[in-house]
Amino acid sequence: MSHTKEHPILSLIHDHRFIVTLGSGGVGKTTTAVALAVLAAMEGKKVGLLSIDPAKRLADAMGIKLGSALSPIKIPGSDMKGSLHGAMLDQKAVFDEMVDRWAPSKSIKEKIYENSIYKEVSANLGGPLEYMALAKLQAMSEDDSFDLIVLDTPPDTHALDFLERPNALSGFTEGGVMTWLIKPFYLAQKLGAGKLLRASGKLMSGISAITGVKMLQMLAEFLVLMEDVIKGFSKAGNQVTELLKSSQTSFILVAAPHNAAVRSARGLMEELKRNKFPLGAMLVNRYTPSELEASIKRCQDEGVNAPGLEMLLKKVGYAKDLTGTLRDDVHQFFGTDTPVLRIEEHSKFIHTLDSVIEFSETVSHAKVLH
Amino acid sequence: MNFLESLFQKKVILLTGKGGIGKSLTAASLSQYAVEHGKKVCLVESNSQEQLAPLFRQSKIGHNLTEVLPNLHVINLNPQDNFRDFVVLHLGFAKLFEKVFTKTLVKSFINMLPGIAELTLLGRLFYFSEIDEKHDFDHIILDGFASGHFLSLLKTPDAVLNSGMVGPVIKETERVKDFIFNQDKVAVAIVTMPEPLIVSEAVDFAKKFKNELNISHTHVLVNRCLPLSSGEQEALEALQTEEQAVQYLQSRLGRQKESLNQLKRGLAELEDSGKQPELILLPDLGAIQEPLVNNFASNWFANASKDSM
Repeated sequence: MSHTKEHPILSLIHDHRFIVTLGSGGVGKTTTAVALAVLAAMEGKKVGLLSIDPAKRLADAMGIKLGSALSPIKIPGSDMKGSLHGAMLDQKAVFDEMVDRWAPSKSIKEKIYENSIYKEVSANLGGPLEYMALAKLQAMSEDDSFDLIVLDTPPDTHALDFLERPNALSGFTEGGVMTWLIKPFYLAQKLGAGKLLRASGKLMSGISAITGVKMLQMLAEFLVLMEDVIKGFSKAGNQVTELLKSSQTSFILVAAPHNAAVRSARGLMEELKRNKFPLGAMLVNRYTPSELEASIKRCQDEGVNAPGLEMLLKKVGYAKDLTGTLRDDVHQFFGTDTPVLRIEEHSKFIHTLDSVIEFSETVSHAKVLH
Repeated sequence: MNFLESLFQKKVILLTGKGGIGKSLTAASLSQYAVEHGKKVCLVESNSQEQLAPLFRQSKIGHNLTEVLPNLHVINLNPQDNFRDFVVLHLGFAKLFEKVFTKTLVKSFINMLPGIAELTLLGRLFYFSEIDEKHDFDHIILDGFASGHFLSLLKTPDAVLNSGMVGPVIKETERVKDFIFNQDKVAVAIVTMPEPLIVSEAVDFAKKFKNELNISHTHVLVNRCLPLSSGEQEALEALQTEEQAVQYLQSRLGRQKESLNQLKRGLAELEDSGKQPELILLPDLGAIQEPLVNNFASNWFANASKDSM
């Protein structure tokens, strides 16, 4: 039993089953997710790490493979009491896995894999990876071999979409707008070409005026084939929304002290709050060290005329101000009990195992702002 | 400032690069600069979290072309409104749209049809550049997506052309594709930072643009460079002190030199003719005040330099 108070990051790791890192691009979100996973494994957890951010070099260095299956990550020389498995989700692989899981028969499965729209959607689309990740998260939550799952989310504004996905997904099946539109069209097509457009109504003929009839035929076939898979997705989406809102989950918002990142963080906080997702902590990365301020002053007093000091002084002040803003925002949205942690800028880039371990150490000792 | 000249020779400038390196600030500054040089500019983003509005003293711009400075029009495109504009303004189906496409339907349609959001976004750029006679813009500047997403944006026209669709959409897609890949008209500029890992991503993307899209000449803007002349750099390197602030600057300068060399090597491999790639170095300002003051861009670019080998 330790009698000193546990660092908030360690409490988060100990008290949750799912940790989701969120943040705009370039704030060190993926690195943070990896560091948290490593830290948890060292603390004895059996950890699964899911990344959908293509930080290729970091993944390569850790031996994380692209695909949907999790592979073991060994950290040489570390006394890892638990275990660490990771995957960098590849859209097509996860999509295929979901079809495999939910398609009702072998023949439908094969037809789906051969369908040209499926090929396009599963391999080339920008969006679906995010709900693929949710489906994967849900599948993993039913697997007892992990006691903590760390999910890294995509960079930039996608993160917001990502939270909205489960609903968008069920909107498109349960609301049934497209299903009731497309299905009659498909049936009508079977009845014969003459009845086709009459049966599907002015709406479909309207759409077909734009895309051509063939597109609609293909879309109809695709949707009919995918019916059970889409239902499966939708169910998984709803379940995952519940999981993400439960006390088993903690969101960690990663930010950095510059205007754009502060704005994005505020947007994400609004989104979290509105959707009732729990914020566990905010991590402010890339903080320009405050000690530099005293050092700059000394240099100026002693007449050390290093070029660039003036710019650096501005930078230190800017980082301090914006970190204060971030802290105030967190406290305003989620209360003063929500920890805000500050991590100083590293001169080293984190793309090797050693540097990840070092960064995990830094995270577990990050200064808590009050 | 003639180092920006080759960029401004193109009517359309598409910016991309890793997140968090100042793409929006760069896009806004290029626009302000062009306007102050007598041009009429349309500055575009497509972002659920507006980044341009606060730079121009606006709380929210949304999907409305807003004149934030004389001759500088800004818009934040969203997929639903893009789709409407595309159907009504490009394809000429105004009546159809009114009767058929309810809000929910448009949303579902966009969620369902692969690539439609990307296609209509490119379509809007085409519109502002080629069709919009009312505004008659000199430049269209896109504060683009981060690199991976930007790549799939530019791949969309081909995906649509190969999708099996026929009819007006295909005709329009062909037009849009011809436009966006016309290198006399459209410049792709990668924004990066002088840090080894970040420039290696920039080089990877320049390679992908070339190999997967056949876009060979990309401009590279290196943001947050130490604002030091070569003499000042030497002076900084020569300083011997334990002061953290000086050591911090020295370490940054070291990484800057290393990464600029790495960037030049990587880009030189891409050039067929052995032509030296052109780098524009933009100085780190330390702090950014929002909104941008008048002449912000001119002052910033005045201290920019073309990298000499």
